[in-house]
Amino acid sequence: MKTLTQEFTKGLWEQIPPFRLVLGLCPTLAVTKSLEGGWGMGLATTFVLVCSNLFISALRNVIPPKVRIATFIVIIATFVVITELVMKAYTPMLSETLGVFIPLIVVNCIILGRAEAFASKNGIGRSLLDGFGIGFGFTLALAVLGALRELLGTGKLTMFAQANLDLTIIPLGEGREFLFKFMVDPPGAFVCLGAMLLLMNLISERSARSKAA
Amino acid sequence: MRNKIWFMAVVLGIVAFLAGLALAGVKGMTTPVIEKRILEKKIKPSLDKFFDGLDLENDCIEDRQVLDLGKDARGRKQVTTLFLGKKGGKAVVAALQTKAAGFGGDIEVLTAFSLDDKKILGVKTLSQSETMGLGARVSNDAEPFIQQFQGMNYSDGVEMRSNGGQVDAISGATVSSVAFTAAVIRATELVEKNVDSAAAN
Repeated sequence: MKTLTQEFTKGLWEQIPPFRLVLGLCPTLAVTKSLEGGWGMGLATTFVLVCSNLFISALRNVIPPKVRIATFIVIIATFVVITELVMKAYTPMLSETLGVFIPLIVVNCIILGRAEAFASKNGIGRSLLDGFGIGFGFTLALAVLGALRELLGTGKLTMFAQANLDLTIIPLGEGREFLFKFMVDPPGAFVCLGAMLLLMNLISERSARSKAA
Repeated sequence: MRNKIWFMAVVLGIVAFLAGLALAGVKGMTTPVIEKRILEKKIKPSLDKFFDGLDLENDCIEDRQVLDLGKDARGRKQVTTLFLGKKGGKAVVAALQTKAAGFGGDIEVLTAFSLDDKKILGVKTLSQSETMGLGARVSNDAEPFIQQFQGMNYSDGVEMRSNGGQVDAISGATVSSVAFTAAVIRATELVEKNVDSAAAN
């Protein structure tokens, strides 16, 4: 049995969703054109994950096993639609950036995965910590990937477009939109994800070797 | 008991009912905010620009009318909003929101008309999900493709150059350009058809 702290921190490295669990790759590749897209998607997913974990864990002894997936999906879909409506109303620019990928959180396998593998078998406290941990890990991974792609692709970092919070790190000439357009295109997402996976495996291997020695 | 059919139905029913209640509540709260935001942030600035210097006697946002366009292929109700600007009791300008399917989804366009001389005052992309750097250029008001509509006479219709018309596409983004133009064409048709009856209201 993990300690409560471990339940939270496992999501940040040991089981960080796109890299270790290798789940939720669709949104990971699609929305990380900018830093804003990355953290926005991450936080939206975290909200849904925490809420669905909370409710599924609370109802775990009531939900009949045979209809559990249907029940999980109803709960998850409810929070996704709530997220979508609230984002459309209060963070319209972010909602436009993420577009269809917000409603698609319903089918994000991280959320259903955590519901089935964790929340339906553990108490409320642990499920909440698990949701926050995995959610923040996902947010972190998407934000780093988004920042990397946006910086190399356009030379900018968009923090929050609605409040004009963006930084130009590498100034481009007049009328030039892209530094290295490949990075903000879909293939660039695969290359970046691969490079980050390589880096993470390298670090894990190094630390495992130094522990062994 | 948990494996009884009636129990499954009851649990699933209660969960779905509560979910529906929660969603209805959130939708009720957010819909006015979303509608107000679209009117204020997207439509009002464009209309102010298109109708600049006309000294209209009414507030065309305040006096907007919803047009019923019948049902689409899937039986969903289609509506659009018509904005009329009046002068001396007569409608002189109009603006209309239309959409057409582009490369990555619907492109929503606001088209403004000057009714007396049958000219397009301007066009504005309200929403789109086209390819960055290609079709997404329809969002840029300074784009020559968008600029060419300004002052265009629509009495003989609007059509793509490839169909013998006057509209030049964005090179490399034909699908997006055709969709955008289709939305404008739809707006010209609707304005011709509806403006007289709407002005009488």
